[in-house]
Amino acid sequence: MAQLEIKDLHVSVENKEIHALMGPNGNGKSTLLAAIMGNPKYTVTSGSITFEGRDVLSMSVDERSRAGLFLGMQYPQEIAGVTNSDFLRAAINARLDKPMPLFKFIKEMESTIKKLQMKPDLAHRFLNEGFSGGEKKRNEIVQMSMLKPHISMLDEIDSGLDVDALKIVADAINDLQKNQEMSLIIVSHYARFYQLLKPTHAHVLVDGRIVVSSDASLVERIDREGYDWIEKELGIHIEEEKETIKTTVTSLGNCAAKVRKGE
Amino acid sequence: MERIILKENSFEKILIDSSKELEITVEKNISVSLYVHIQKSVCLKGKIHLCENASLNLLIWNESDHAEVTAHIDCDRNARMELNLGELSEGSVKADYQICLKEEYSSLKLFSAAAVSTQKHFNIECIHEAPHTVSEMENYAVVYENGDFKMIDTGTIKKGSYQSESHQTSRALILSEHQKCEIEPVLLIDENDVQASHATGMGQIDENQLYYLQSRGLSQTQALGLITIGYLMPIAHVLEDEKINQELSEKIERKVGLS
Repeated sequence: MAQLEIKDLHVSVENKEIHALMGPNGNGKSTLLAAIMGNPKYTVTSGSITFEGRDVLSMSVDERSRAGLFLGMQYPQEIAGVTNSDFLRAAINARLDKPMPLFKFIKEMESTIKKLQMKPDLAHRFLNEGFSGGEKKRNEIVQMSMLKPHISMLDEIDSGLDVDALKIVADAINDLQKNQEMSLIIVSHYARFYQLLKPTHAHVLVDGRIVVSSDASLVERIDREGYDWIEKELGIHIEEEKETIKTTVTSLGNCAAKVRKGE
Repeated sequence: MERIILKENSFEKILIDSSKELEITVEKNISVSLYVHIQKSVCLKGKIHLCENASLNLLIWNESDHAEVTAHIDCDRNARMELNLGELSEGSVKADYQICLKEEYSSLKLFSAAAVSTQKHFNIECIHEAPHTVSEMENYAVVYENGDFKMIDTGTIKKGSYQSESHQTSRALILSEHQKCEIEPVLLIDENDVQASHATGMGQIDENQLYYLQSRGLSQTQALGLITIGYLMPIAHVLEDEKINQELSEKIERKVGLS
């Protein structure tokens, strides 16, 4: 089983800061974000994660979300049978003492869908089921806009978006960042996305370590020169990503035979 | 034997809280919705006859401690039977339904939703005895710890029932290692000019889906509830009665831990 270790890593994100997290594929960017969110596939064996003075590692995934953390995922899940509106309403109500009135929720959802220029029937469609890659990513931003997190981690949220959609998503992120004073950690390979979001800080992650940190100029340099200069100037060896075979969970598909389980 | 003859278009409710034999006739050209609510511990024997061009939308909502149900349904020419089974009780169930599409253009639409934490066994058979008859059977089950679910779904098309259709779909979601779940789709066809299909699926909750929902702030119970409610909620809306729909929806939400 492939293993990747995140080590000797220290990042501090202050209010309203936008951090770009870059690095060659397979060096731990997504792993870092997933570990912060509490994905059960990853184990944190040492170190600490603190958010607004609270120990994140002692919190369950849902507690982390309700505390104000959000992860816009690279591969959002498709969940048949659960509509976007039922899901989002439950998620919003999970962080309120009294449930949000239905009318208010509908109005807010409609306005967010319009802002992200998604189809009006989004609310009634099953969560991400049959969505295109771009629709799934925009739906992550719909969720982020509705849940109003204090810190959002966006994992290659720009992949699968066309030029117009990229702008729409960036505008929605910028609005939320300004109005809600949200902080951001953004993983992307594309300078175009960063140009729209204007990061205040940038880091390069290699082999689970941050090897260089700077301001937005770092993004521009990587866009111009790639990562070769890191090897040359800093003497850090960058391993090429090993090919992995992606496996997916089998869905409740069809079969034609008598089926038994549990006997 | 209690006999009920339905002669007018109407919406009827029947409460069954003791064992009985029941015979229902829906007269020619009449359209009826019927809500049968089963409580306590009962043994129910039913006989239903849909006369020519009659239609019956029947919801059997079982909240009993234990139920044994045997029902035989006959459909005459162009009669339309909608049989809906809401099985969310904590009690055990043994049910046998036999639906005979006796004359041309008669049809059956069956929909069942079961939350299973005890023994619930169903044997449902639709027999096509005439040409141009259509049956569609859809079964959904959520099987909890110690649940024992069995569904034998049979579509029989007799010789001479040409241009008939029999379709079946069954899905079971399994929430525990300690359960039994058996789905047996059967098609017995003795005619060439027909259409028939069956699809069966069962599986456990996808851990990635659970994580995704939890990452948006839902507790594990709420996340499981949201995933399972999609299997059960459609049964709450099969009748056109807002009050009953609301009442059943709330019961389903409570059952899956969403309220």
